[in-house]
Amino acid sequence: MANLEDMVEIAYPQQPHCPTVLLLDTSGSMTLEGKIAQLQEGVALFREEIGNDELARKRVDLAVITFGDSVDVVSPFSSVEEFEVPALEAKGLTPMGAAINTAIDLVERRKKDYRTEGIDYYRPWIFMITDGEPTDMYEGDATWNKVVENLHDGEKEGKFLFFTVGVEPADMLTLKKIAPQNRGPVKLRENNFREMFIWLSRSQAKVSASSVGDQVVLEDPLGPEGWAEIPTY
Amino acid sequence: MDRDIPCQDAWAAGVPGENRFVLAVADGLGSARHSDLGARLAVDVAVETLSRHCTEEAGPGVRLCEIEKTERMLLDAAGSARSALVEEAGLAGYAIRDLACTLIIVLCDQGRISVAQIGDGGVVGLTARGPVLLSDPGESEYLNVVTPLTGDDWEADLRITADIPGVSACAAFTDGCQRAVLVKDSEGYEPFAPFFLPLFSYARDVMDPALAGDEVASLLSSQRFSENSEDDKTLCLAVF
Repeated sequence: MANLEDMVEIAYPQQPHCPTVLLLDTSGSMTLEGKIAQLQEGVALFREEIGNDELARKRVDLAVITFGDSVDVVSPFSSVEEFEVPALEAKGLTPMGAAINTAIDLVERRKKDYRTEGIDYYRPWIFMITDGEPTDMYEGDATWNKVVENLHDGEKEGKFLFFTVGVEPADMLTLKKIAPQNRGPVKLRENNFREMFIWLSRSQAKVSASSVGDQVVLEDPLGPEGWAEIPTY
Repeated sequence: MDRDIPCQDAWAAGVPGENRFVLAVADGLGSARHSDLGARLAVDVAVETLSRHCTEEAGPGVRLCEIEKTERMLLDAAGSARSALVEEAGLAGYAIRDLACTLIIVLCDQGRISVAQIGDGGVVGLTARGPVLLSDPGESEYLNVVTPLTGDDWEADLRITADIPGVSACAAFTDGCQRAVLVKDSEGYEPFAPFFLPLFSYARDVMDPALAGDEVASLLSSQRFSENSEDDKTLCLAVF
């Protein structure tokens, strides 16, 4: 009798996907102290690190949205292999409210595409990096209320995980009011973009390798060797 | 398996009467500290409870075909398994979530199949129309999220499919096998026929159950299977 292993065929489903949006502040002030150049290098490093991880490479989907002169999806969702590091140019104000809405819409659309294709997926990450405060909404105005509600509800309902990183001289107090209540903003230590993106790639590698019921424990970015610090308001 | 942790899957089976069998598989959650113990206990208690119902409520030759009764027996088997976890957690000083696991219970009586399931994994049966999904992995938006037997809402999450006729073989499996044996589109899951048809045909022809067990084990640990999932894998086959 033939070997069972030789008799059966195996369904080769698509890899489960792990969608990640980088939501990057490209306002004029990001030109100061070479921040925009370091951010760009960081994105390239992130792509490289994920690309070196066997599983994460197949599973992580990346998109980049910038907000400055305007809000642009500069890189729509693609696999890491197809991802091209966008050229970042710092210019204009900080339309953070519109940017957050764009990111939320983008992950919702992506999840819908996954469902249509029958692709399993992990909870999307939206990772926002900013050195300022929103200039298209102010605390208590209609836009602010709508954006913050959209963000807080989405996080609470498990639609995505939203991370907020403030780069000097970000207004951490305002960011705290925008960020999900259960995950406050952290402050980037000494423009440590490099370490931050390495942490992000490691975290994504862990998430994309997790199985059902696994609880993913991330490295603590606030540790003594970490890239972030708790803001002092 | 490869990872330096115990296998967190477990299965158990019993034959409580002629033309009748019960089967249970459970997958201990990776995030739960003692889920290997939880899975083991859950399948043992589920099979024991269901076997007792079979012999007490329907003696030899009596068919268990009243739907309500079958559903009640399955619910009780799952409930007893959960109570055993609560009790064990109390005795050992664990939190109930430390024993978190999924559970699938299959009852076959004179060719009629019933399934109770909480969490993922699934059961595929062979009918005249080919392999059909008797119980599916359930709805959960994200890949790494699942509802366990230990959850507060276990009863609402328990899915029961009772008294399906015309099934001549079945396979119950944990989620580690899921991606290799099911296909998924926007409509949901379907069994992958090129996997199940030869599998059931093999199970029907094989004479030595021990050999069949070894063959299934080597299939599950094969490279092709591992590429789909690094999780523990259990697949229980029954032909009748």
